[in-house]
Amino acid sequence: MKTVFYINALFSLIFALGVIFGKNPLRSALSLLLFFLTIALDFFFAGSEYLGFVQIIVYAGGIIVMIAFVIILLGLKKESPDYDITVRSFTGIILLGFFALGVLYGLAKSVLHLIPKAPYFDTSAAGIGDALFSKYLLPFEVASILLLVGVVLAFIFAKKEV
Amino acid sequence: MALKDVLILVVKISIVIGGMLGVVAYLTLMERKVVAYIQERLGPNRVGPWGLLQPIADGIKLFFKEDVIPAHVDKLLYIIAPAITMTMAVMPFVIIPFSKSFFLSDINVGILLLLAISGINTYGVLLAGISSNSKYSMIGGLRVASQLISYEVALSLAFVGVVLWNGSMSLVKITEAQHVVWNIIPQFIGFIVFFIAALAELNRIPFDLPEAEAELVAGYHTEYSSMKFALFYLGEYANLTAMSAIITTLYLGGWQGPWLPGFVWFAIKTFVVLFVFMWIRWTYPRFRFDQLISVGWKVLIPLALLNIALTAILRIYI
Amino acid sequence: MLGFNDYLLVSVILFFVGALGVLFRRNLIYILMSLELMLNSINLTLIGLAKYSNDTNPQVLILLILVVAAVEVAVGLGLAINLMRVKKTVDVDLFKSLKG
Repeated sequence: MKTVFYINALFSLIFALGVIFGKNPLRSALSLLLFFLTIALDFFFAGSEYLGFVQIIVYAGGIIVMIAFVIILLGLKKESPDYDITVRSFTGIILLGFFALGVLYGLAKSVLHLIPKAPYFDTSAAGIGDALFSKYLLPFEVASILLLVGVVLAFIFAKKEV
Repeated sequence: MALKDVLILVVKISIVIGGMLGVVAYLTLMERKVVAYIQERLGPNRVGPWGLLQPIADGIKLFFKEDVIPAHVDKLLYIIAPAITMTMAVMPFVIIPFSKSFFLSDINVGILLLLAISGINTYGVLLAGISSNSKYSMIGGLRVASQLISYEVALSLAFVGVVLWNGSMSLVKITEAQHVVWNIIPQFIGFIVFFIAALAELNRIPFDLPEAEAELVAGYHTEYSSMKFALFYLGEYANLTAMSAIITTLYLGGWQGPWLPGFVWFAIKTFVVLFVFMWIRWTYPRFRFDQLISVGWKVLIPLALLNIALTAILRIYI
Repeated sequence: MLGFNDYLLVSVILFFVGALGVLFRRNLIYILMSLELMLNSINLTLIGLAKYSNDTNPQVLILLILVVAAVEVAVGLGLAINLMRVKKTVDVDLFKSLKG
């Protein structure tokens, strides 16, 4: 199981690098698609079929198609790499490096046994729905308002004359 | 899993795929015959009795044609696009129950699998349009992207109605829940929405804007030839078969029916749906593109939402 | 045995890669895609946590993150289309008309 997980993680890493170092925007978008599929596979490994399929539907069926659509619409073609190598971005990378080191240090110390463990792992759509519509009703409503705002904003941004 | 189980599974898969490819090949003939009778012609009748060998002759012809790859295409994407279309067209048959005991697998989020497949199916057509690097294909690809995104929303909302009514996402359980009354009666609005959205997902007339031959030559597959073209052509019919089978399972009671064995009922219902698809194709003219988008967003999606609300109310009070 | 540590390790690496993309690319579309990478690495952590602690709550959080990701992409792409129309480019370094 561990081997399969790490092989899949290797593929995730390769596709992620393909996204950020790509020259052709369309190829990068497809690399991102494959990356999402590997993440969905991770969800399946964890036993959560429902979330895995939702991941594929939302990302592969919606987000990447939108990105590809915009790439064609704007006519973005293969370009020379446009890396922005400045003091600012290096500062960011160094800070991120510290963050990653912190997380890895936490891993080494491993205080994870402090997390309480429930007796039974409910990955079914019914279980998630129960939690979503009772305990997390407010976040759910906020998310729906966020979606509405997103629709209106996207419409206003993309309209020809504002 | 013992060796025997694996063997049984392999045999089952071969039966499903082989049977489906046979059906798909003969659907091309069926479509030509149906259009011929609608237009008061005879249709193909030269190869074999009643033209029954016509699909084989067509297949041989396409197979021996020269496989042209134009110089200006993006080769990798150009080659994988038809493969994606064909593979994703066959995939839904993994979970469709053909009879009470004959199905390849029963997963409890089956409907989400169907949606995921139709999401990835988009890429076959989209990539074909983009990678061909020609104006007509490009416009066809753009149209496909916007059309499929719009109608996938309506399709998913129609699915929600079925899931709500039957209380399960597994296709086997949904079929079994229909033994008294088929879903088409309590879910009639949902059925209408689903059927129209399915027409659009399949790029059939009246929604065949991506390959409208009068304006775009052949849309996304303008630059394809030989076997790659055949894969698109067959993929289209395989998608049609899969969609008919899905409609049969979700709304028409699947394999359930009196007297005859389940498999026969399933085949009869699927062919009726297929015939209706063909009938519509040769009866209606094509929409304009703005009409297509506004039908999707302003009519189908509100109807589907209404359907969900009604289903929820019915579910509580009945 | 696959534990939470494995999930955390992989997702930290992927988050780092995504952040690299956001910091070093100037094309708006690439920045959006890198943001998606980062959001997905968070999803990976959460599913690891859910599996480790047998808990439903992280799974709900994943659904909410999906919503945020979808909205972010829709608004970002709308912005990209509009900027392309006005400035004829998607290079974020050239959008500085509001800079003091």
